[in-house]
Amino acid sequence: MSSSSVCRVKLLSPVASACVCAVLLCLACTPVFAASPDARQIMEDVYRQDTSHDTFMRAGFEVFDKEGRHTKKTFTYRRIGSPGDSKTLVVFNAPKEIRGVALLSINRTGVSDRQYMYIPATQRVRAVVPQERSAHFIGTDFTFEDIAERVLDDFTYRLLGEAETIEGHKTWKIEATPVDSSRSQYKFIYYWVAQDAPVILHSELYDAQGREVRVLHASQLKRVSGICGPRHMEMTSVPNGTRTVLVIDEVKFNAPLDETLFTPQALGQLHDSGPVR
Amino acid sequence: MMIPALWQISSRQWRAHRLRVLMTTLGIALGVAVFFAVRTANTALLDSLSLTVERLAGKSTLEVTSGETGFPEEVIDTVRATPGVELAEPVIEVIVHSAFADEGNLLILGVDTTGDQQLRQYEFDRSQTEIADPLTYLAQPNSLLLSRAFAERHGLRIGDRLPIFTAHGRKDFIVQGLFQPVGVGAVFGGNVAVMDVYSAQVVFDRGRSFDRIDLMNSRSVPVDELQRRLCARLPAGLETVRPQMRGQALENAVTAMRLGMLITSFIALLVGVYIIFNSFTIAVNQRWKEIGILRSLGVERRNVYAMFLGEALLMGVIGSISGIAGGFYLAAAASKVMGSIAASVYGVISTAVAPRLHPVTVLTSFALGVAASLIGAWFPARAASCLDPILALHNIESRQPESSLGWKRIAPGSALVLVASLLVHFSPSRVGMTLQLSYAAVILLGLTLLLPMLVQGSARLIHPVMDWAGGAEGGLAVDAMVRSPRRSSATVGALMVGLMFVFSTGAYIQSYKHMIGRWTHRMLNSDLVVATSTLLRSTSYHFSEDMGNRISALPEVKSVENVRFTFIPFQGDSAAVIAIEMDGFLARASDAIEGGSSRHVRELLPRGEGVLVSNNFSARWRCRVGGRVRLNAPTGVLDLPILGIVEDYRSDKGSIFMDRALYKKFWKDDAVDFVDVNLKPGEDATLVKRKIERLTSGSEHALVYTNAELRIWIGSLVDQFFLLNYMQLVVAVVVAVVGIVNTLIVSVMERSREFAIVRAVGGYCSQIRKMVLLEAVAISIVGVMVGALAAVFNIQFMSRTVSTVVAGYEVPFYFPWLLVLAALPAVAAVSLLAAWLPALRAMRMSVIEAIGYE
Repeated sequence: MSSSSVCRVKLLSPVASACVCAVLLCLACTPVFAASPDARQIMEDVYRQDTSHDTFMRAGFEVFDKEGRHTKKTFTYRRIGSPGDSKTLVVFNAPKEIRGVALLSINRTGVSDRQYMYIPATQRVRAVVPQERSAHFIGTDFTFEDIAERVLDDFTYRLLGEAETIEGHKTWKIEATPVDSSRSQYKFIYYWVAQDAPVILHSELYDAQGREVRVLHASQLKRVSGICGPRHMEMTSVPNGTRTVLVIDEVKFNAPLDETLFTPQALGQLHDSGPVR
Repeated sequence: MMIPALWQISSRQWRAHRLRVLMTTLGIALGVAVFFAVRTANTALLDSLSLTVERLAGKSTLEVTSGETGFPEEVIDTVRATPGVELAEPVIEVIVHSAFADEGNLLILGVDTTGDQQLRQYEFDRSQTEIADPLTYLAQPNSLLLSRAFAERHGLRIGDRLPIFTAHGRKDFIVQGLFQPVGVGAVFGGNVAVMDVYSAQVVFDRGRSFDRIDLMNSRSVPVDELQRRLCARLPAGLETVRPQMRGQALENAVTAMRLGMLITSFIALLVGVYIIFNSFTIAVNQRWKEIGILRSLGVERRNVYAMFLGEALLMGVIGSISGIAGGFYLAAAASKVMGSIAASVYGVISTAVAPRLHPVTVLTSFALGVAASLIGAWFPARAASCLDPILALHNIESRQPESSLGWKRIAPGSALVLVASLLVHFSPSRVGMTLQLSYAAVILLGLTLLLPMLVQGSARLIHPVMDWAGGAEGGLAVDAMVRSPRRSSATVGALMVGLMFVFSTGAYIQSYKHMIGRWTHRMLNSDLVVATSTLLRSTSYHFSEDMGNRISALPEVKSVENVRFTFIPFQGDSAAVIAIEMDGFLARASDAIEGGSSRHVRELLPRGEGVLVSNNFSARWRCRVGGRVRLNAPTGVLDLPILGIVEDYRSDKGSIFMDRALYKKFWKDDAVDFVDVNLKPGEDATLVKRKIERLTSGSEHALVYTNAELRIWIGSLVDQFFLLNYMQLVVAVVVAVVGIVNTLIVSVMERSREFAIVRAVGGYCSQIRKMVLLEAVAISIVGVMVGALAAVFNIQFMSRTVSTVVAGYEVPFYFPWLLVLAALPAVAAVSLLAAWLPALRAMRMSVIEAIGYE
């Protein structure tokens, strides 16, 4: 049975939600790019430029179906620690059906992520099984792989040359190919990376059969605490014509976060009124 | 050379007696058809249960269960922490009533959908490759995923509401996704929904417990080894079994039904044997002279023997093949009936499986059909082969009365009946079911040997009545019976077998109902009862205690008792637990307790320091008052003394009565299956019933019965339980009617010469008709008498042996006088109808041709 036809209950896993931010932060920029057209170096700069030790973010997903109807979910996101050794906490604020749902992910290099979810209606904190990388993320057009922390060494990179200007930025076009098929659901990915900032502005993602399945477009770059990134991202599913827009309303880096929030026991007592604690 | 020559004689006989051959073959075909259909339907039911378990279990290699009561959810941590467990997922299984008026039950599987997809196969609607909103699905406890089959039947789409009765009353569920009828979606006829296991805990009032944990072993640890590890780590009340064992448990749950069906099919075969026996007895009687001539011409005994057995073999082959062909279509209907009973009476979920032709069943049915023919023909063939040629050229009936009435038949016949009756009374159940059920065959064999004597004796008894009522023709009709015990025995034998089963089954049902009536009077004597289901109980839909509180707040109510009725594992099998508030129970039903000190019972039982057991539990597990029962609860082991024995028939596995507080403490389960309501003196039960109905209307799926209605309701449940027995009656009646028609037609044809002589000496056609019809009436009266006598033995067999085998307890002996009296005119009417055509033929027969007939 193909993965696309299998029923997969897609919930927002903590690690996945953490990775939403990771992707966003990967798009943050520092103007270090010059004429150094080494593909791997470009991608390494994209992935490793975030040095913050904690992050707070307020954002929302808007999911459009092929008839144009849309639903919106808003959430707050908190992360402490660095990639590979972090804890992330996502709390949904709207709509009312999911208000108060909280997701905690504890990531450690070399061991499986531990993930927990709190559901107010049942007043339960439950452990969550990690999802398949190709599974859709809470009904959006993002898959878990799309929003996960990318591991640089999972792909090989080839610079295809200078490409068109996107959102006012000159870009490099890079082809990323997984080192083996177990590392990615995609056969290859084309990235358009800004030449003046380590930000991926546009991606085209191709499935194992070489068909274009998703297109990601980023815009509205802003700088916060010296780190810049897009405030608007749109993922389009090519085969079924649906799309998801991620809008980031607020981002704070290195703000002091209360570490006691990041435990399964604390999930039940969480009141997500303030942005930063 | 000899065999082909004899075959020519046989074929000539078959051509001359086409009707007899047809009816005889039909008798065998009917027996084989019923046997084949029941076997095939049984296999289809087992396939269905096994498929259901397989689909529900998915890839799990082991399951942790604790009967129907569930267990605390912390157990999953222990399971997951056990080395060798690759994956462990909790399950809650609920069958609910949807609020759609025209829809039956819906199976809801509560699973942890975030991980369960690794164990089970769900396939979602192709047009909706995912759940509409996975986060909302998990966040909202009223979310469910619905099978497309169910959704289409009700025009439900994603986002629509589905009203369902839960422990907290009627609730609207939101359809968050649809899945295709494959995997779990195909179970229970597609009436399947999936929801989050933690949501299921809330909406179905399961507290913090699961029904089951499905798990997979890691590749490095064999299943048996993991099973051992889990058994060592988990509390005693929890069982770790392979999923197939759950299939076995489901099979065990429907054992009574399967046994009932099996007994039905054997009855059909047995009657088939009887029809062959009758037919060949008549054929041999008809062909005495022919046999005499053959023997005089030097044909050896063994060739005569072979000729008759050869005929039987051929009839058996044709009848068996026809029976298998007909049985295959009958199997589809039988399968539906069994599936329906399994669901409604036993609450067992199944998946529709079309009956298939199983080579083993085909061969077994064929072999049994042929064997039945040969067994049925064996006695008549032997009689034919042993015939003295000189005597054969004379009227064998008048010259050889001793062969059918002599001590050689009476002595072994009486001995067989006596021995089998003694076995029925005194043999222990450990001899095994097959041997126990064979007692009926032994009784029948004995009665068959005694049949000519019984026929003659009965005929003599009714002679004066027939003489008085029918005039000279009546007397002649009875004389004809007395003169021809062999021929009459054949017809009476067919009647005897059919009526024996009709009377004994009727008696068994009546006796059972009487027993249940006594039980309801003694034990279920509260003024009102509020139940969760139209069945004896619902395995998954329960009330909360709040329901009892609301009822007890009514001003007319004196007290309420919350009752939990469930099953727990017990000594490798299962037993019912009835947890009830004992103070209230003892106040109204202490008279029902037998044995033990009533002071002890009153002191210890409400304190949870002892239990009562039902009479069948006591018999099944050989325990008495003063003994102890050891129960493995999910939270520990309970070892309690038996304080008394009560009459209770709620479970064929036996019941244990304990105080509700004790049950709640050890099983962590506060569900309620019944609320017994006791009213203040002078209050009108019907008015309070209406008040409770208004109180629960639209919120709970509650059925309120007054005590009188409760008895009627239980009566209807008993009727439902006995549906199989009613089917058995139909089979017995059909086969008996075939037997009557068969033997009467043949009997009249055989007497063509006798009728012709009456005509030749000046008898009227109307006299011939009257003689034939009156003989049919006489045969029917004798048949009812002999059938009633045979029923006496068979009632003993059913009320003691069958009842113990199927239900675990004995049913009091009861003789159905009214049924016997009612049967008399019915059987006489059937006999008259069966004899009408032969009577017309006898009237119209040419005298010259008829005299030359033989």
